[in-house]
Amino acid sequence: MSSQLKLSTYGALATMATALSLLSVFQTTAWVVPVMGAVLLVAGSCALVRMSPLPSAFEPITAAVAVLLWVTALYAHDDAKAGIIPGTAAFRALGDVARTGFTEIHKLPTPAPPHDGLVMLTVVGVAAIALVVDLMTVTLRRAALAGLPLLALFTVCAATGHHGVKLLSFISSAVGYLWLLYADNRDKVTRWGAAIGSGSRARPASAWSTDPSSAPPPASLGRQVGAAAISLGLLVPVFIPGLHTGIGKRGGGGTGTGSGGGVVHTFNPIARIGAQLAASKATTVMRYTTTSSNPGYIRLTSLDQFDGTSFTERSLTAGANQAAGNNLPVQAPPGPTVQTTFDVASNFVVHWLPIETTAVGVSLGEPWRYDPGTSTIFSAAATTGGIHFDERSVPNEPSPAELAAAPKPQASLDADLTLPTITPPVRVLEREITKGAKSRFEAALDIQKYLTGPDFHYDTSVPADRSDQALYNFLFNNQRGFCQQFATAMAVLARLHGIPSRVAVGFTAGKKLPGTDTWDVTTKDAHAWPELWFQGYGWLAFEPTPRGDGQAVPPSYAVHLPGSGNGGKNNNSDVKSTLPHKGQGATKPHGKNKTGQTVGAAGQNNGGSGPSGSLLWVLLFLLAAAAIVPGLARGALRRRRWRIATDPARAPAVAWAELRDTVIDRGLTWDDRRSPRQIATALLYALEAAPKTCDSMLRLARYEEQSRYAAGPSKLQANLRYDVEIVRAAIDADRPRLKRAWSAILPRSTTLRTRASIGRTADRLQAMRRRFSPVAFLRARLGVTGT
Amino acid sequence: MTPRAKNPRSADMELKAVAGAGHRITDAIETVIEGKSEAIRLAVTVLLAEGHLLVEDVPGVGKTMLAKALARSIDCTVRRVQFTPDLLPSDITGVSVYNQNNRDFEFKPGAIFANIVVGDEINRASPKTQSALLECMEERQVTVDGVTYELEAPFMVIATQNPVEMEGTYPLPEAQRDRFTARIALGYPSPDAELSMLDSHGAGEPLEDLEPVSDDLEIAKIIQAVRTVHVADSVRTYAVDLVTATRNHPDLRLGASPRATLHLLRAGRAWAALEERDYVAPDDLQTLADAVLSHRLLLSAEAQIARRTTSMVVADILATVPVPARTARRPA
Repeated sequence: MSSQLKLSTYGALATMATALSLLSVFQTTAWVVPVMGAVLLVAGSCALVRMSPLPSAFEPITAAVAVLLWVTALYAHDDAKAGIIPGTAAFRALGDVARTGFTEIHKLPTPAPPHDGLVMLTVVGVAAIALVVDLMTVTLRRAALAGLPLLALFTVCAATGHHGVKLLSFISSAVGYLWLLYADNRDKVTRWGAAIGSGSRARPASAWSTDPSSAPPPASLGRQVGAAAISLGLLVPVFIPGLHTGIGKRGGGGTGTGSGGGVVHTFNPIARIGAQLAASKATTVMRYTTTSSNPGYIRLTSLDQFDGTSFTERSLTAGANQAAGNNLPVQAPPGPTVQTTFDVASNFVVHWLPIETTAVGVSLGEPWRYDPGTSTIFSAAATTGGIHFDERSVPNEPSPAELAAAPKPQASLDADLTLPTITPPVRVLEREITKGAKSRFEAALDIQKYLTGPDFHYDTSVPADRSDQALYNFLFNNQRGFCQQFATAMAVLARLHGIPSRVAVGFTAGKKLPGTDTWDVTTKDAHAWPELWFQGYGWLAFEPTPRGDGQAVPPSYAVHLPGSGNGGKNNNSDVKSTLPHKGQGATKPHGKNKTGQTVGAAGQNNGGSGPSGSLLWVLLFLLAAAAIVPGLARGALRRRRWRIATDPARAPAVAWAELRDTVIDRGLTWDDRRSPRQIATALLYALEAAPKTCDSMLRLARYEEQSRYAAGPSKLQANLRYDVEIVRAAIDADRPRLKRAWSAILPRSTTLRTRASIGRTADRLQAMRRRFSPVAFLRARLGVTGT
Repeated sequence: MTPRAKNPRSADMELKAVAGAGHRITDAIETVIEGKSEAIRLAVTVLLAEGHLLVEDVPGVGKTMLAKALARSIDCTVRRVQFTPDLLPSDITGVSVYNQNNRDFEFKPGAIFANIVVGDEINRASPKTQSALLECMEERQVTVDGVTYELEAPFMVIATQNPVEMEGTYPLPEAQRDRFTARIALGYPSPDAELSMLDSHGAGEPLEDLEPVSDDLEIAKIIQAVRTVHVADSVRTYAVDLVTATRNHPDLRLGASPRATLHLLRAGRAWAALEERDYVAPDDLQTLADAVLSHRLLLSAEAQIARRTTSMVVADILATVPVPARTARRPA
């Protein structure tokens, strides 16, 4: 029975090791606890059935029930009785979560966010695999076949995972499976009554031979065959033409930029901003001298096509009659003109001319042309490297009241309102943010205020998120990013509100050189900001990025004055408190509808560490604690023994037991079936011990022998603790430091003792099972004796 | 449980005396037989265990020499019987002859009436004659014409036999073999021992020079002391386990008898006493098991075909039966 329990454990471990391949399928580790918990539940419930009088057919049923309860507790807790027993409402809620999961499977690319639906489907799938593995390994005793479901799990992860499966996941899967095979075969061999392994691998209870060199041929042969098979499996694909996707090599797919193996470099202004901001060294890109005391942002171009992930530029078009010049076709607001002279660094080479957002003319002509759609001066032939030009601009600073009264935007700007499918939570969020706004302008200010609120953090180290869920993740999950994310979020939220918007790319005003009118703009000033259209006032810049270095300053009209408009009373806490929460969503009858749940989660998710994350930490902590428990337990036992050893009657027994554990901890053979003298002799022979050690060892053996077989108390006088220490020191003398540390952390004697006590418990359960089995009951009732 | 000596101090002294006497006898015999200390020690053990010894080996290795040396090293009555095919039971036990003067039958004691009886080439005598030893060896008495005569104490039969020469020999019956506490083989001496033997035996007759180092009274006392050696319950159980294993072993068609268990424990006590120990350890039984058990066992036909020997089977059993662990209290 204990061997079944052992195999069941190894099966569960193999499944968990293979399930680690899911790391490349999900973005975070929030799936770990639900999935691993399900695997443990399946193994545990199957083991319980085996120990009970129930027939094997109940194993899958019990496992299914256990997984159902687990899933209910995780995903329909509020609708279930006692939190785990599902009723009709809970089943309906689970059905909703599952449906969402199925929808997301088709929609979301990997790595996917660990949404409830996806994780629940993963839990069920992995639990099914764990069940099959358990049945094959323990019930059918075909551990090798259990590799098929494990392979299925691994293959699914490899096929769907981002860049396939990582090398570590492969190693863990392979090790898990091989361990399972090893345990199974070891168990089979021990059923014959022979021990397998020798020396440090031998089990002290069954190895009779004291000769450490007598490694049993089957074990060493098995190791060699295993090592050779794995090496072949890894090496052969490397040398076979056409098979270039072996472990250790990354597949070519995934980036989407390659074609035929070559890489086409496209200049993505947004990507460049991220790179420049993240660069450790700031490089001057341009200097300008201006008559304005408060120059605005310097724009390169603007991006007005939103593809669901980020804003991209549309193709710039300008005919020969649209050459740049002193009078750009823009509607200049009334006011004084500002003169600015630009000197662009020779190493800043782009095709867009850096100009102020309010530029009305430049001193350049052909080949620079002006695209009024994006307000971009560009050239297909010339670049900005080392260019020098003058620019004329008129500051555009309408009053908030004017902007609040701005009429509906003209229909020609519909392109700047176009959005792909936006997930419902984002729409709900937009409505909640802007629900108090009386005008488009107030709505814009509310959005800006929301994004610059305390929940959002400026962080240039955030990796680029190219998934469809980038916006969603930014708004609800991590709430960290730099100008790109903030500008995109504001532009999208503005479009949702009906305000034409786009993302401008360029630089902040830079730093004024002391004592001059010259401003220095470096790569660190690279910036993106949203521009919103207000009819009659044109494209106006807003600043939702909480940059914190004083470089990102909102324009005067966009400063949110307390009491002005509606923004003063619409702060973030109001938004959060009015967001629909789990169980009270108005849009769907069940509490766990996707919108309610995810937006609710966004409210709790400060800094990106959700409950699953903390559970993972707890799990890691428990694992770490479990790792040091054996060592601590061994130390406690040792101290207890030496306390007991002060009683002379019990001293020999505890000294001998301590010596036994000391020897076993260090991986040496100890055979309990032999006499103390024989054990001592074998050990001394193995150690090639010095005379002092021999004396101590033989004294201990003699003492033990007397206490076992002599009539009265021992007449020998010995310091047993000293003798044990002498032997321990002799064993440790030749062992590497690492091995010594390992035996202190994970003492073998403790694991063997734990294993033995589990075995005893299992045997007792087995005996109870026999006693209370239906057959025994009938026999007792009918008075049948014999077999 | 065997009663222990009430005064442990006197018990210690007795054990010292036992060990001392044992060493004296061993040393004395070793002056005659070189390099066979283990066999000699076993022989002394059998003497102290009140048993009988069967020395079985090829001719010329010193079987008779060992028997005679053991007999001579103790100052007691010794008789030697050369077992020949025409030897009669009455030659062993004795015979009643009619005394015309007394007009009565008078008992003439046979060779068995001595403290140590050396039976040379015991398997050359007919089974009828061999059977005459049965009662003497086990019950230490002789019954002739309905009259039972007690034998002297200590009483020990040391028999030798030759396993190679089968012509004209009568293998010892099982019952007879079972009465021997131990069977030992001397084996060929090592080259050094043989050289040293050439020196000593070439110059004179060491056996003739052998002076007794003990006497029957001391031996009787020592035997009493050996009886007081403690045998723990777990060790008794171990002895029973070993013997039981011979009865269930697939290679054997006859296992060891309960008498074998008794002999094993007695020999164990003597062995422990010779080591100056007042308790028997499982190691003692393991050391003695081959000598005490293997001559009583009969191999199955298959095992004989597989060229197994009873000593191999005993070694198997020793390897599989676990020694008794501590039972009284579980160690912490």
